[in-house]
Amino acid sequence: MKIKILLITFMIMSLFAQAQECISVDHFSRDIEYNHHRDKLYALIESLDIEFGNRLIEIDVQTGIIVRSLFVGSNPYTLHLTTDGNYAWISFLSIPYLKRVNLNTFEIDKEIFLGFTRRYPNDGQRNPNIYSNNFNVFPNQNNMLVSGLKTVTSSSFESIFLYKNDSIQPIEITQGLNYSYPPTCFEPIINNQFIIGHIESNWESIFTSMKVLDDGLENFQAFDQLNTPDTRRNWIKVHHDTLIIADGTVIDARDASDLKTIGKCENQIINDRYGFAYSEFHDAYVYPNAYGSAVYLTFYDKHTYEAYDSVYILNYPHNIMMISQLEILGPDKFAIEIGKDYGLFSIKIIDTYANDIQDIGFDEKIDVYPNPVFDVLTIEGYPLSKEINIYDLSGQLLLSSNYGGFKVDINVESLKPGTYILKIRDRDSSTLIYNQKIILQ
Amino acid sequence: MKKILLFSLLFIASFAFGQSLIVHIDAETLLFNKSFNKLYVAVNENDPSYPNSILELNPYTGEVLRSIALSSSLKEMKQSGDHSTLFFTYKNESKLDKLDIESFEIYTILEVGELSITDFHSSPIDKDIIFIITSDNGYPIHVKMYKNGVLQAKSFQPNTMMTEIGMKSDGSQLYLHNGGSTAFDGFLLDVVEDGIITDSIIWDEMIRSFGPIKNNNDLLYGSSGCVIDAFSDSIIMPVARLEVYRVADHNSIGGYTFSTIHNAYIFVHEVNDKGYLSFFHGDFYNYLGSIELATHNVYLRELEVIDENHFVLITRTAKADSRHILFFEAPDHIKYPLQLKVNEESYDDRWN
Repeated sequence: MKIKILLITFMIMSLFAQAQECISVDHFSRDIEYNHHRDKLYALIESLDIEFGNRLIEIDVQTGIIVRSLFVGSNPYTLHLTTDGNYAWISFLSIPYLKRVNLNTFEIDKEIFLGFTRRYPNDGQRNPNIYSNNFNVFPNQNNMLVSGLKTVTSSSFESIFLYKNDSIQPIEITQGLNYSYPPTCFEPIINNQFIIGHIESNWESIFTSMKVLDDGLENFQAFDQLNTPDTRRNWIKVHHDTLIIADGTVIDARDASDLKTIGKCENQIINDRYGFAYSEFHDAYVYPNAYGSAVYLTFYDKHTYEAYDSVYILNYPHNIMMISQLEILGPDKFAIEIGKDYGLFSIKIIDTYANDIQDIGFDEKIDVYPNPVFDVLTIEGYPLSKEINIYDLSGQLLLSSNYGGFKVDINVESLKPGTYILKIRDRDSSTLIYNQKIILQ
Repeated sequence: MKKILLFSLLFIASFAFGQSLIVHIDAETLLFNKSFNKLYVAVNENDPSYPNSILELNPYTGEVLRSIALSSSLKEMKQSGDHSTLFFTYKNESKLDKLDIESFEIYTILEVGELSITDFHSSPIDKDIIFIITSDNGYPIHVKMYKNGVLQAKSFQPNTMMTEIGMKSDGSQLYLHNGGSTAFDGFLLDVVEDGIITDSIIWDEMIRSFGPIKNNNDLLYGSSGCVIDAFSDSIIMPVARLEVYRVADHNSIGGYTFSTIHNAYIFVHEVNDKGYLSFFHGDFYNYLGSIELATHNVYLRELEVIDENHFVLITRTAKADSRHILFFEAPDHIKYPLQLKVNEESYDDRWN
């Protein structure tokens, strides 16, 4: 008997061990981006990393091995790859530059100096140095970008500028940038004719539409009624002319003068877990979710915004966890940047090919309480199990409910006191993942 | 078995922490002179054995080799570019003196009457050219050049507080900075035949630095980890930010220096009342690791690198009122055995 139990335990453990493959790249990452042309992951490494600090690294996503590295400058901050995958643009916190790395030669081949307004001879004026804290590269352009210029200590911006043809264009946006929440994130839309700017605040929700001119940018319109409450660091992402926001809000931007909120992926991002993506492989929006220390990626239908699938990716032991970046490497392969808020982040490459949900011990991931129950039964745990059914002991179905998130309250007042069976089935209602007696008092 | 375990623990302890020697001299400041291979220490007035003195010490053993008494308490000490001379100012006297190391004799170079000397720097190419910042109880401030003790005609009066002088290695330019406040302004000055001239004031948040400015060739750096290129262009360029403030306790950074031996910027600082040396790469500016000092310290300042494994600094333990000199021998065979944890609260505080 003991041998049998041991054997079964071992089999379950083996299944669990094979549920997913996770490669850790244990260096302190600041930003990551996947290059599908080269099948490589690129990462900016924090200056506190002993081995690769202040470098751009190229990672083989099959092995996690760092193939190439290049010192790029002090405190690299943001990374954007060009659409063709041939270049990486980098901004910095400590030096007034944007730099471009040629990914063929793996050398810096272009530098944009941002300190051009810094010196005022003789007149005693004070003139802050400036840096680009956020910028973005235009799609299908290797040498065209939009960037904000920011002082080190102030929240106000010097300007937002357009860079193309190897120069910063003369018409910059300088007006209206001295309020508390100027746009700090920039997304080109509608064939690169407009740029949508957005603040990095979870208190305000102000979008700014900017028009791209031949020789610069002009303010077009500001919106402050779109009600997107949490849009901190990881800003906006674009799929065609749809904007996707960290809190799940989806915005139709086909008319840059009239942004419309068209849906919301009701994810339960906790504690600013805001790496998210639109996945070409799944044709879906993907957001991280967590329950306890278990972290999942949840897929949302791009038309209905309803969650339809969820895959377990890893367990993370820290309470205050944040997935700052999510990159989709393939149908079953993901890269995340994960760490503690305000701490250091590292990279994990996760292959979920074997991650069938039956492999996971679901009972441990679902809390049902109180039991015994008087009026309301709360179910909390593994996300997006589709169907919750309550049966009497004869097997007759008495109550049924859909379960689309992490927590659901079911009113059981209509049932007589007694013993019942609670069953939760997975997304296709095909697999029983929870089966427990409950007592109604 | 227990013996083996104990031996192992002892071995690990000495391996990780290195060894230290404390010499009980109440030191104000110190300098290592690589030409003479000696350590020079300015001693405070309360030291029982060598009050108000400059001492010459063996940099490994702390043995006092020579000493010379001063007229009063020393304030600041620097050495000439050719390492033949020590220059120093006093806390209560308005003059600048020099000590010829070979003869160990003191000479007065210049006196500034009722003014006080805030900072000074000798020209790297001519030790008889001295630049000083003077002030009269804070204001007005003047920057002056002396040749062989003679005040030159062209001087400069900044309109804001300046406390530190940085110097280009060829002696052709000065960089002035306020190292004692939260200000960001600085001046670039050209050295001409009969003094100094300037045409610029710089207000630049990316070049902020506390404390004395130090040289790594023509790069300047300060205690905040800001490395700047003040001289290679007409504008001052921020080159890097060494993120020592993310591993050190707030305001605990004491001594710091660039070590050509290690090709690293080295900071001495505290974490939870323990002292550490933290190293940052000389070219790539990333953190290389830390070494724990083999003593319990609450006050750490100054730092001189003697060789790859030997460091000297001024420290004070929790129970002692006076400072003393810590001769630290780092663990052998491994350069930087510790990776300090990041101070997570420092993330948003990086520029403050």
